[in-house]
Amino acid sequence: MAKTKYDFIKELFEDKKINQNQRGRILELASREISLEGTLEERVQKIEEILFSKEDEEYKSELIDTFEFFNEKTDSYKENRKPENLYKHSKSEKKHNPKKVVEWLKLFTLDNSTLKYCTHLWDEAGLFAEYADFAKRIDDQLVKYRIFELQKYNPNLYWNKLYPFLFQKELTEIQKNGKISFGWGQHNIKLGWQYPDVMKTWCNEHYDQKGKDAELPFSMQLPAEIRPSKPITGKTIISFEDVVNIFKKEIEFRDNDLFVAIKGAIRKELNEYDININELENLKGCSFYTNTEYVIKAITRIFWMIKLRSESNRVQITCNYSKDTYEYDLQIIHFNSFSDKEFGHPKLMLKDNSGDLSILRTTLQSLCDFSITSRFKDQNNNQVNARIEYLYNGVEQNNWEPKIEKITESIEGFRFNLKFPVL
Amino acid sequence: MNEIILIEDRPGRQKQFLDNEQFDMLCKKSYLNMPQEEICRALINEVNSNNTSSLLRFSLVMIHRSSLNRNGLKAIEDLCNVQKMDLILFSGGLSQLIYAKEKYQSLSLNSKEFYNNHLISFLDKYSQEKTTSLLELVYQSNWKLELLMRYRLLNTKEMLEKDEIVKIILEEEMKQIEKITKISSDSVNSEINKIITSL
Repeated sequence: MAKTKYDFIKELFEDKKINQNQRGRILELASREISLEGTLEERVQKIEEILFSKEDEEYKSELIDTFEFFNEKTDSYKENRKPENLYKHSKSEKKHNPKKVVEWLKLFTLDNSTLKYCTHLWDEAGLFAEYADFAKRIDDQLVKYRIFELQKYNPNLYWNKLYPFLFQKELTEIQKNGKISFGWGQHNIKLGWQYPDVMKTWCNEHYDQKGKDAELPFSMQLPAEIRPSKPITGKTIISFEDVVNIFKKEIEFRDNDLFVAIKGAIRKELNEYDININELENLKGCSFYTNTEYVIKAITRIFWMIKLRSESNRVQITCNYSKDTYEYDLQIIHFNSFSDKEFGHPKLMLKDNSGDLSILRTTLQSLCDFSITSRFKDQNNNQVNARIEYLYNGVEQNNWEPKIEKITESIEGFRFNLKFPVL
Repeated sequence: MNEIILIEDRPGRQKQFLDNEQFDMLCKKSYLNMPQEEICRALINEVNSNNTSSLLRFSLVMIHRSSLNRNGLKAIEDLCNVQKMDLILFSGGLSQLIYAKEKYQSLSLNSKEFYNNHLISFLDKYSQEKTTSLLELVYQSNWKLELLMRYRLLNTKEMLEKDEIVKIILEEEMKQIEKITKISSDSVNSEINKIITSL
């Protein structure tokens, strides 16, 4: 098949030899080229598809070098890291299992675990003799709970959140080359427990072997050069405790967090739409562990999809907890909007791994089960109501094929269902 | 006398926020049940297994929010709803104070705010049935005035704020204060003047 100009742009981005400046120039040229075709939304979408696949590639290239980041050289240490080493050299494959991801994230609340003390105040005397003891125990947890496997479930959650905040000891190859700088999460925080060695140095002076007089790591004031220059959600970040609280917001929606984030996305993207405020109130109190940034990215993309279809401006957003299945069902309905595409349509079947649904599948991988329900057309051109599941239990064994289930009940429009497990 | 239970699975935190004298005073309060160690853990396990029968005799339950799983939290909320018990949830991870009194009276707040210098006097007063709102724990007896003053401050902040997410958070807190005090934004200043004059 002949290569399109988009394939060519993608190839350029995938070339690891291009530097930051060249990447910027390619993007500029690509945007000029793309700006000649389609509606504004379509052009924006095309650029995003290119950028999104580039981001994915960066994670893959990280996968190759990880083991060298751990610079401890003792034999016992290497022995301890064997499972991780073997895993890293195993065939790269993506996995979908939201429960497994929640299990890992819940380790931060497990009593008496070192991971718990990465996000909770050290309020018991003599928990750790010194920083080095704590750091070693963090590394042990990485191996004990095989947290490194998270990179195959939700790469962003591992590489852009857990790994830099907890485990990273030195710059990665891609960071050393200057392609990206060190920083984690939505706010690009420049400090983790182990990198740079700010916490280590501080503990040597204020915590190690100090007994009752020890100051606790959470009270460490951030050096000016790594402090975020602007307040984050209205709070000036000055201490390590503030940094920890930012991390906690990256991995959990708690109390009104989901409500506030979705309301923010509505104001930005669907301000003119008819959304019942009282219905939105039921988002309050929905608390679950996830990659919060990616969930909001996905919801924002769903809003873009709704904006592309002008059938109606009535949208309903609800989130309900099921006691039977132990999951939250986040449902977004665009009323009177129907797909009416044939089941075999490449955008529905994600044949070329392109399009909004394909990006949603990647974004939500191992965060939730994901499906759409609408009216479609069968091979005889008859209208059929159906649910198409994109992320479901067993999707890997089914070669990531979407699962179509015809339904008999009437439908109200185009419905997105995101089901988040709660353990 | 109102009986109160304080379920804290992290005793180290009490010692961090309260001095020895305050801690000893708490332990001696006859109206206060403060289960320790194994007993505390067993009680939390019971609640997390949907069994809240041990809490029935209390008027106020104060519990570390993070010690509860989703089922435990639901069980406590159901208990408070049916028995019309008051509930205080505290946690290091809570960044905003949330108060509600629709179904039952509840207050969620950060641990630092919970273990404040007024905790003991608040509990004394509560046990004697002399409190009018759980908000007295944070704002003392002039809680209504404090809330209205805060409303005015939030209003100014909201007008100047550019970050949409922060704006929403501020608006939500203002709505909450409107609901609690039954005051609209137009009448805040006159209500504040009225309270100050009556002091």
